[in-house]
Amino acid sequence: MAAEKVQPILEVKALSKDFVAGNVLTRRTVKAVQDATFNLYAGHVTALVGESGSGKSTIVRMIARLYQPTGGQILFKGQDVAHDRTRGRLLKYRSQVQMIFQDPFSSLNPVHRVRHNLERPLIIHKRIKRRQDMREQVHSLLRRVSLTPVEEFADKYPHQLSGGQRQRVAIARALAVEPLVILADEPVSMLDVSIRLGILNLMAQLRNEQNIAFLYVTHDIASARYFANEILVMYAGHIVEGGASEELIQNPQHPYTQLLLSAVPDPARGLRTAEVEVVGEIPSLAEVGLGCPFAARCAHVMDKCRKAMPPRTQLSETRWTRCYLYE
Amino acid sequence: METSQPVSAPLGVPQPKPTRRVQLPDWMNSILRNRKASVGIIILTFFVLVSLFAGQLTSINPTRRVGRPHEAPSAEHILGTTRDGKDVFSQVVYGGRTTLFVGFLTGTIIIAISIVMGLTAGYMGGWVDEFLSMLTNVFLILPGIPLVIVVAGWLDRPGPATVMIVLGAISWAWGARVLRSQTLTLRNSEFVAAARVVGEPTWRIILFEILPNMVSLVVSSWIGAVQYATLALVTLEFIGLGDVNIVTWGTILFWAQNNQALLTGAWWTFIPPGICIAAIGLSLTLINYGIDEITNPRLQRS
Ligand SMILES: Nc1ncnc2c1ncn2[C@@H]1O[C@H](COP(=O)(O)OP(=O)(O)OP(=O)(O)O)[C@@H](O)[C@H]1O
Ligand code: SF4
Ligand SMILES: [Mg+2]
Repeated sequence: MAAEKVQPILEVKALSKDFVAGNVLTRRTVKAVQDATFNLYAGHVTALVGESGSGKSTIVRMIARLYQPTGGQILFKGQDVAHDRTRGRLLKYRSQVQMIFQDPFSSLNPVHRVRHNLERPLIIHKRIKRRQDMREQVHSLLRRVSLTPVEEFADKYPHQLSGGQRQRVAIARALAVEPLVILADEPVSMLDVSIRLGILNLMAQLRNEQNIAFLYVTHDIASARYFANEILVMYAGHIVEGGASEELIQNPQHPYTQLLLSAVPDPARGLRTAEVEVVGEIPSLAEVGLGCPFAARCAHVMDKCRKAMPPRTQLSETRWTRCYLYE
Repeated sequence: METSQPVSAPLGVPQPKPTRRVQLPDWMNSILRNRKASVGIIILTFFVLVSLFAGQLTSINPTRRVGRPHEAPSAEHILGTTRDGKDVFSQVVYGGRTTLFVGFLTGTIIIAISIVMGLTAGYMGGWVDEFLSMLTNVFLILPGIPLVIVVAGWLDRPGPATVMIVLGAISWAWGARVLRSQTLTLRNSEFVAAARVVGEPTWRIILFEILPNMVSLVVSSWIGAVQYATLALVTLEFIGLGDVNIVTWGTILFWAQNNQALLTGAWWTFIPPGICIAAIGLSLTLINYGIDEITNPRLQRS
């Protein structure tokens, strides 16, 4: 993949998010994401892998402009959008950056028919010239996600659909505006194992045919390997390693990535065996200090590891990590 | 194409209960299948029909003297007459019309204020929520009926319109609190996040994404508010703080008590309106129990 040479469509720079949790007495800051930097490219899938609570959804929701970042930048086509507040500018961004949620059972409002979910983005973003074109547009979206017969599906309510069918509706909704970027937050993790591949293949097809840039969040290393061009490994709010997927899986560098992959029996064997297990203890994000978040569990820990977060080391043109072993 | 069964949703993710669907057929079916709700609806329908067809049921003007004082029930005056010689049956029929109309209207005003306050606080969060919640708590602490009594006494026999406004202004807090907490839950659901990502404006999210998912809660709060308002109005009128020249169930009771109907044994002047008031209270209670059972399957007998 020569995508690295082309201009990124979306750049995330030193993005961070602090949540204030607890009441007046127990108030503490949760550093959910710290100093996240990566790019998304057209026709390129970037996977974000990490165990539960590592901050993956927080990153996605910041890029989707659902959470306001505490610090850092989100550049879309070179323009910082992290501080856009006006409805006009937000709408323009939303017409190009869309999102698919983890749980298709709660991401579709039970009171609306499938048709409504597809018509709204078309209306809001003025993607149809004439009212008469609406029907045809909705049907063509349903055809693109293989929900046929389209007339029948357009009139259904979410409770009349299976999980996989709902997720296809959610994908069609994201596609309605013809986005350049799709953020997919664990889009298959709530689905039956038997239908995950169908959804992943649909997204792969969209990447190939529509040249859409994907940010694919997952627990599942095997699916990241299958679908993603590049993998980012996240641990306790930090992205600790990144690189071309096959290379990273064959030859992990960061001690956490190594631990993660050793816990996965054989990622090549199939999609069902490769869930990221929680290995050892996840540090409480409220206690994450200055140093490397992995220090408490790392076999190679050194004094300086506890003092400051290691800088980013470029290992090759396509690989980087944040660990003092490679400084 | 996938044929698998839907997998179950995770705990903690707000899942609209299957019975909360706003598809009318389903919804009406479950109401009609529920015994309590059906009985309540039948009683209520009876009184609504009586009110609508008051003119067909009796040709006697309820405010005119048509007989001797305290005539016992007879073929001519099936519920007898008052001490002023007015026809009690006609008074109960027309008084019911006014009582129900004012009660429903007041309940509707109350719930409308509750919806605006509760949904705004729940969705907006932040200082808006803090301010509105504080206001809600203040109104929750205020003793409702005693306050209305004081205000009504101070306004000196206010008409129904004034009582309606006063009741509406001080009785919205309970509904607002219930609706706020439901709004908070729904606001964090993924379909609201999805609507924001699609670009839906805030007012549309509140009205078309959140509100339709609270229909049963809104309806039961509305019925509760109607019941509260009706009983409060009857109470005020009974103790003579309303406009006693209007015929309502409350004022019939007021005059009966004023004319010492109890001592003179004129039971027909207070038993019929009393039964009507109790029946309306019962029917609204039954409907709300029914809605509770339908939306909360754990309460259903297996
Ligand atoms: N709205 C919020 N308020 C407070 N804390 C939050 C909020 N959202 C997330 N967090 C905290 O931020 C941390 C990261 O959460 P996030 O949802 O991003 O993790 P994740 O990697 O997506 O996990 P999962 O795999 O379980 O979805 C967690 O500790 C979580 O408790
Ligand atoms: S920086 Fe230090 S503690 Fe962190 S992973 Fe590298 S060696 Fe281990
Ligand atoms: Mg998540």
